[in-house]
This record gives sequence, C-alpha cells and structure tokens, in this order.
Amino acid sequence: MGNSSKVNGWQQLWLCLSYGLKLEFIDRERLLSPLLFAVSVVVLLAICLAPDSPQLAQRATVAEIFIALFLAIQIAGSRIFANEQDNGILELLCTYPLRREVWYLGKLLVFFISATVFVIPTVFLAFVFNGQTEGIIFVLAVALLTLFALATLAVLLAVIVRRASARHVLYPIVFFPLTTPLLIAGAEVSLAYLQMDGMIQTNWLSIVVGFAIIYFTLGILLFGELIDG
Amino acid sequence: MLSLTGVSKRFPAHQICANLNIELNHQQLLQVTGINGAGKTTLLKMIAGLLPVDSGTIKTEDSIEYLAADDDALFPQLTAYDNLCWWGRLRDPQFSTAKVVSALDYWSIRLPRQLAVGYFSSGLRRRVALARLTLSAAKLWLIDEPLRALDQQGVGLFVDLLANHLQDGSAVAVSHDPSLTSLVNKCLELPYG
Repeated sequence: MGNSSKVNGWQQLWLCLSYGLKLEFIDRERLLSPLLFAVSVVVLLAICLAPDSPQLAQRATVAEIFIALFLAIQIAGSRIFANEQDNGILELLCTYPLRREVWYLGKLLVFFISATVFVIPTVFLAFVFNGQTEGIIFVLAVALLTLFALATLAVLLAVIVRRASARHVLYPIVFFPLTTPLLIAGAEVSLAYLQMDGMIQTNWLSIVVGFAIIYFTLGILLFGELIDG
Repeated sequence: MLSLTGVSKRFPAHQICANLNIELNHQQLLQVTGINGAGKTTLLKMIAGLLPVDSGTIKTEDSIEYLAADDDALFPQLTAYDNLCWWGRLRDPQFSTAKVVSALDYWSIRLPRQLAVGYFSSGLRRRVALARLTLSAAKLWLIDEPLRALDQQGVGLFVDLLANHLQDGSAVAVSHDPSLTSLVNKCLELPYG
C-alpha cells in the first residue's frame, strides 16, 4: 500500500504519548481503580499482618508492595487497548502510516507513566504502615524497574489477546505464570537490600533487567506483526 | 490508482468474491452495492489491508483514508477538535489547527468546543468522522456507508466534498444512496454467496 509518511517517528511518538496520557487522565476511573485497589491491599495487609519485629516488618513491606503491584497492573493491563478497540480507532490506525514500533513504544510509555501514579503511593504507604524508613528510594527504584518490565509484557499480551472474546479471562491467566519469576526477583532484590544493610543481589536484579530487555525487544519486533495480523 | 487482480475471498458460510478484477483511476468513484451480508464491507476492508485475501492481489500507489460503517473512530472522551487534531497530525507533517477549525465550520459542528464527542448525537459524530476526510490528503478514500445518520444538509455537504475530492483523487464507496449516483463512474454489485 502506498502509505508513505512524512511525519517522523519522534513526532508520532510525541503524539502517541501526549494523547495517550491525556486520555488516561481524562478517564480518571482508569487511574483511580488500580490506585485505590493497590492502596487497599497495602493498608489491609499491613493492619492484618501487624509485624512485631523489624525483620518481619521488612518482609511485610516488600510483600505488600509486590502483591499490590502485580494485581493493580493486571487490572490496568487488561484495558490497554479498550479505547481503541471499542470505537474502531484500532482498525483505522492500522490503515494509517503509524510506525508500529513507535506505536508500541507510545503504548508502553503511557502505561508505565500512568502506572507510576499508583506505584509511588503504594511504596510510600507500605513503608509508612510498617514503620520503615530506610531503603525506600532503592525499593522504589526496584518497584519502578519491575513495573517497566511488567509493562513491556502487559502491552504485548494486550495486543495478543485483544481479539479473543474472553480476553478479560485470558489476560490474567497468561499474565500470571509469565510474571511470577519477575515478581519473585523484584521482591528478593528489595528484601536483600533491606535486610543486608544495602546489599544489592545482582543475580536477582539481572533477572528483572533481563526480563525487561527481552520483552521490550520482543515488543518492538513483534508488535507490528501482532497488530496487523 | 487502485488495481484488484483475481481477488477471491471465501468465508465458511459463503463466497464474498471470486476472481474479481477492478481498475480504478484517479477522478473515479466505484460504487459497491449488494444485499446485506454480501460482503461489501469485507471487500472494503481487504482493499484497506485490514483483511487478507485468499488469492489475487490488491495494489495501490495512493495513501488511503478509510471510513468504517459502524464506528466513527473517535475517542469519546475527547472533543471534536482534539479528535481531528489527532488524526490530522498523525498523517500530515504540515498540519495546522486552522484546517481543523475550517473543517468543523464546513460541517457546521458548532457545539461548544469543550464538549466531548461522547455526548454528540450519531449524526454529529458522523459529521466529525467525515470532517476527518476533509482534512485528509489521502488520494484514495474507502468509505463505508458514508451517509449513515446524516441529515439532508449533511448529505449535500458530503456530495460536494466527494465531488471536490474526485477532481484529483478516487474513492470506493459502499452505499445505496441515490445522492451519490451523479458522481459514480463504476459500479460493482456483489451477489450473495
């Protein structure tokens, strides 16, 4: 087809990013429901577990953060293409000269940035409710890195299951086994840092980084094939 | 220019087309008709590259603007202005917002600027979708039931717009509306089955 474009990739990325974020923030429910869900998980677990030693409090902090992160990302991830899918926008975009890798990158960044809205308060609250202060910056950085890795997969899965009639069921079923190693790795890195005086477990950290690199590369390479297929 | 050579498509229930050959040059309008379920939309989607053909080839050197029958491809949370800016900027590096204002004026979309498209009637949403065509520099329009939900004034505006487009471009229209008859150069009736 003769869809040659003079709009360059950076302009397209800026458009995808600015419009994507605009839509996310207009539709407050999309941001609020994962945020409230994550905060509820953290607060309830902190109250119920009520750790009585510093070691237990550290464990509880990390567990709460990664449980909340995992569940909230699943809620948000299943809606990644909801806007486009419901209104014929996805179909029309497929006929436009929008570079597919730019499209993937735009979706990924919008998802990542909007998810930080609930990840940052979640980490902060988990530390506050468990009486912790040390290591919050490092754990936040690991949580954001894990979030990015989860987002690379979340966008890819969303495009894979978008045509399935039972995609709301299929999405979590596929998401859960694929992300379990990543969540364990993220939790282990954070816990080791808190319990071993700032020690960074590079083995676990490399799993998180590796996961992000693998799924980001797959996303860039396969998104076009999956969206047009 | 659009060229379909030996195009065939079959769904399990029935044949959409078999060994279909069409040549469409600039300044030509192809009207596709047929009973409901004959495969008119499927044919349009194949030309747009949204559905694969079973055999044969579809070639076009022109950029495409596709208008679906049921979906207006508008973000309901955004205003008409923002929707048109989104589609315009994606395609046109020399895009200017003045073009959007002019398109909204042409289609008489004079509701408050801050009103989201989700609050529009179906006729108004169709006007916004057609305003996207007004902005587009694409040479080949693939338009599925373009007059759906339009009032008489809207039909007149679209016919004028299409006539203007056909001075330099081409179009394939799925429509049974007699308003387009004066512009049609070629006609294809798809039989059912």
